[in-house]
Amino acid sequence: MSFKYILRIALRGSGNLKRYLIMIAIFETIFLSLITTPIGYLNETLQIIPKPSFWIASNPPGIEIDYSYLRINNKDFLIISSQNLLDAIKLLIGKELRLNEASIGCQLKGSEAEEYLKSKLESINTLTYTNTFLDYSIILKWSIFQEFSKSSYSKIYLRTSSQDGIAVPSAWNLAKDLVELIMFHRNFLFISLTMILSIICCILGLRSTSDLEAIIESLEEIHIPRSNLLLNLSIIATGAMLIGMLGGYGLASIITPLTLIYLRQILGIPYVYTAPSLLTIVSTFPLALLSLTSYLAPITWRLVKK
Amino acid sequence: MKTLVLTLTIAITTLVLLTPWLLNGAPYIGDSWVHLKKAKSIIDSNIISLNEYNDMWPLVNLLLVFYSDILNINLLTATQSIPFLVSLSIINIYLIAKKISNFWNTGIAAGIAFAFTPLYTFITFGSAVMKETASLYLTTAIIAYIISNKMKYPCFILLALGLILGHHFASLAIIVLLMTLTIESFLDYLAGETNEWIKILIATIIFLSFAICWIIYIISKIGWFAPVSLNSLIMISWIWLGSYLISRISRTGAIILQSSLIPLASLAWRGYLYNIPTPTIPISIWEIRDLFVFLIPSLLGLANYWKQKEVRSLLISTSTLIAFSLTWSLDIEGLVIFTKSLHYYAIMLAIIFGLSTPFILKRKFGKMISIIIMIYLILASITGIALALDGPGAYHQQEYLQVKGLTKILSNQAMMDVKLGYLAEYFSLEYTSFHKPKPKEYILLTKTDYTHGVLFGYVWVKLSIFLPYEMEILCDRLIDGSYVKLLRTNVI
Repeated sequence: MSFKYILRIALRGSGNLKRYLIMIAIFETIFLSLITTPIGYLNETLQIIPKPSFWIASNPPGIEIDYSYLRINNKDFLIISSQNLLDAIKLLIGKELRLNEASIGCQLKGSEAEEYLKSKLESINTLTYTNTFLDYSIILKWSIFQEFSKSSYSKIYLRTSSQDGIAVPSAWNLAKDLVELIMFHRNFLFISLTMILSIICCILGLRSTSDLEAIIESLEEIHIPRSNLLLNLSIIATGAMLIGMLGGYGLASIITPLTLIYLRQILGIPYVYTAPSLLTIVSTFPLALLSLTSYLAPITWRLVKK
Repeated sequence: MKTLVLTLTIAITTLVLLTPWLLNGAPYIGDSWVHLKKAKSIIDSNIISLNEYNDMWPLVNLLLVFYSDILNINLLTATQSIPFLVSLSIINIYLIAKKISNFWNTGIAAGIAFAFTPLYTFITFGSAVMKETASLYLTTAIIAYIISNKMKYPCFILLALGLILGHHFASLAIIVLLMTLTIESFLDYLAGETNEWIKILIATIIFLSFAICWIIYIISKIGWFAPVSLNSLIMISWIWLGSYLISRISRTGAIILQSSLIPLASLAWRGYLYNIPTPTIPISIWEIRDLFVFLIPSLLGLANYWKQKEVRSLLISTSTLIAFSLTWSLDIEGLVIFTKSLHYYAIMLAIIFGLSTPFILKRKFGKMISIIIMIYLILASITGIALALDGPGAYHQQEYLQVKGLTKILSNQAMMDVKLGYLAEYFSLEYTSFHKPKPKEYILLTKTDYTHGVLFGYVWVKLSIFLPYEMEILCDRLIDGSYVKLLRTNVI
């Protein structure tokens, strides 16, 4: 019964409890908006940029590809081969190609390279358009490649993206690095914001001492035991903290996307909104607990002093 | 006096809602044909089948059958009972606004604002024959009943059952409203006010239980349907919480939220926000002026009556749905939710607009200003009415008759867009969706294919992309009606 009475007084009171609840909610909104919004954009970047399906390394493991250059009339033509040619081509362009002893890329059709190969070999075919460097290359069977390159060739190893290895420089890797960099900044922001907001919470908590005077006096008039009063106020404050935290998450869920939509309309910034995960609430616990302590400390102090 | 003005308001709104039928001679929006076919099958078979999505909320189909039977009119004419019922929801809007303010003129102003809002939601929504429209009267009736403080459970259960069988989104809107009102009443009770919060809580539980049971039944029959998902419900809950805090903390917060939501709603409605190529005419400077004339009194009304829990509850619940639709996505999925949400948001806007009347009336020349604003809104809405009447969702009698005539001639499958697809399905014509034509293929085109583009779901594509002019003139023109044209491709 006393809980209901205390809750009613706290709700009706000078607004201290409401102010506390609003304070936590607003701080958490700022916190969540600042921390989660940039991540949404970066994640979107990672989605947009295609992830490379293979990686190139200078050492095994991987499918070995050998390459060299064939000099015809003072022009160098790239020749490539592999002991596992079909798999290598599939990894490079994502589909199988019909290969002869020598196959030339479509861009080399009618070139000196084609004429040269025709004079040396029996079966030559032209590959379909692949939109890769293969369109400008000559693909040879391993034995023929050995002969043409005169055993002077270089090796590279192709790996699927699931294998470990040295990543090729790509926009995707760059974006991934950027996300990691931002993660560092986000953690830095997290710590700084927690510290700044905790200080503000402490100041507000200390200031609440005078506001509490009237509430506690009116509660003491009805002779509620002090321990009971403290317990009930603590429960109410903890409840307010939890509601404030959830409310902050709710506020961030409405303010952030609406602001981003306005930014898109006014400044043309693309609208990307990724709702913060529910787990991010956990990250705001330190802040909320500090504010709870700073709120409860003056109450306890006031009651103990009496 | 007030009875006369109310009757006049209802008469004008009825007339507005019936304009697509009166001028074009056919029901508004493609969904009409789906429900007409459903109603026809109920009449023919005497069985209400619950097999697919459009069967699962049978209110609209049953209303068509009911009015067609008791008035002894054909089904096509009976479709207009739906817009007529919508116009009667003005009575409920009147009751809600009057209950909140205790002034009858606020009720009238709210009714007029609802019908002639510069967002043009009333004509585009109210004239249509859809599940949503058929439920609007019940939605407003439930709101009026809940806040009347005279709620009796048997009546509430009847209304709730009607609405749950009417439309899922209308039910969701009422659930959000009931929950908000319960919390608001409980907090007021804690603060010492005597109210019937337990009664509202029980009503919420009753409504929620019925709605959940019906949704479970539907899911068991047809599987999951958008936008019902755990993710969307969680998102609505958070947005509700945010919207609740902003609107509850202070009057200023509530006004700021509305000042940011109303322009966004207006932009979204006219196709500025969504990444969908819809054929909309750009907003003119005059329309922005009309919006201001509507917005300023609305915010005034909100500021004046913000302390009333009924106003706040309506505000929070409808804002939640609008904000959710915008946040959910800015593509087709989001647009579908947005159009539904906007119609419930318009109820709230109309009510807060009406609530500004007592404030204006207290001023010098208040009565005159009030009347001028009302007349202004009515005249300004002509733009919206014209847009709707000429819009891509409007069907014409000639169009209907010409497609009907084809049923006797056309035995081959024809290619057509979604708009004609609705008619084709109604007449059981075989059709395929629009694609790059092949030789000797039949293409059925309508006037809006030329003026607005070819409709694919919610996306409009220029006809010339599929059928360039040079190709079109080489086609055999089998039927060259004023609305409908049947072509057969020759050379591709």
